[in-house]
Amino acid sequence: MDYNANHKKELDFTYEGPFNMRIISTLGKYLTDFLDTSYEARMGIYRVFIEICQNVSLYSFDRVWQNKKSSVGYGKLIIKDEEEKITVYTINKILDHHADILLENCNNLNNYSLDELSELKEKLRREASVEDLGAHIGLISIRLYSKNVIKFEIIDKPDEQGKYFAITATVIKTNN
Amino acid sequence: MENLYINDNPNLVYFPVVSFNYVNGVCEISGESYMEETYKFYQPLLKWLNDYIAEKKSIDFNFKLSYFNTSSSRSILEILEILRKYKVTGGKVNINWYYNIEDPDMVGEINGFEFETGLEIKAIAVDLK
Repeated sequence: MDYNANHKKELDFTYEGPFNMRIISTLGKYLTDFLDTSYEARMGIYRVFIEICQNVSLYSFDRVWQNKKSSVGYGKLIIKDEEEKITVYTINKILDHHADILLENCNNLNNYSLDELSELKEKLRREASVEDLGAHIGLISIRLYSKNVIKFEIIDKPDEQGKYFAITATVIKTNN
Repeated sequence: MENLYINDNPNLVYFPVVSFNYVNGVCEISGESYMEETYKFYQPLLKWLNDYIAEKKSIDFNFKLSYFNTSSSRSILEILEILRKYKVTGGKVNINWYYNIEDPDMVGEINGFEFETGLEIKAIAVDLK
C-alpha cells in the first residue's frame, strides 16, 4: 500500500502548551516552508501566525514560567490548510473582567476599513509604552495582515473557573 | 566609540542581525524581529545611535527586515525618531528600506513610518526569492 497516496497534501496541526518564542518561530517557519504559494501569501500567513501566537504568549492568563525569570502564556493553536485558505485558531484563558472590553474592541476591528485600521494602529503605537503596547494593537495587526474579518469568541467554562478567548483568522492563499 | 555588531543568536530567526559601523556611518538591521521583551534588545541600539549622532557624523541607515512584530515596530519608531531629530538639527541622514518585490504589505509599513515621522525613507525593492 502506498502510504503517501492516502495522505492529503493539506496541512493540519494542533498544538497545546506554552507559547514561547522558540516554539512559535519553529512552527511558523515549518508552516510557511510547507506552503506552495507566492512569497506574498506566505508572508501574510506567517505574519498572522506570529501575531496571533504572540497574543497568547503575552496575554493568556494561564502562565508558564521559563528560566525562573519570565513567563509565557499557555494556550492552544489549530492550523487548518484548506484548498484556498489557511485558518489559524487560538484559544487561551483570560481574566473574567477583561471579556467584555475585549469583545467590544474585537467587534470594532471588523467594522473598520483596512485604511482606518492602519491609521488606528499608527496612533496606538505612537501613544503606547515601548514595554507593553497592549493587546489591542496586536489584534489590529492580525486583522490587517489577514485582510479578512476575524472571528472572536468568549467561551465560558464554569467547570474550569474562567473565561477563554478564541480567535480565528483566515488568510486567502491566492489573494493575499 | 566602537562598532556595534549583534548576531548572538544566529539559530533564532526572531533576532535580527545588527551592524552599526562607527567609521563609515552605515547602520543595518536585517532579518526578522519578534523576540520577547523587544525593548530590551533595542535599548543598546538606541544608546549607540544617540552617542554616534552626538559626534555630528553622517549616517546611512539601512533596514533589511522582512518581518517585525508590533512591539518591534514601536522600537523602530524610536530609532526613526532619533534620526528625525538629528536631521532637523542639520544632521546628514539617509534612510533606505529594502523589501521583497512581492511584499506590498511591507510597502504599507514603510509608508506608515514615513507618515508618522515625516522622514523620507527610500523603499528599495529587491528579489529575495
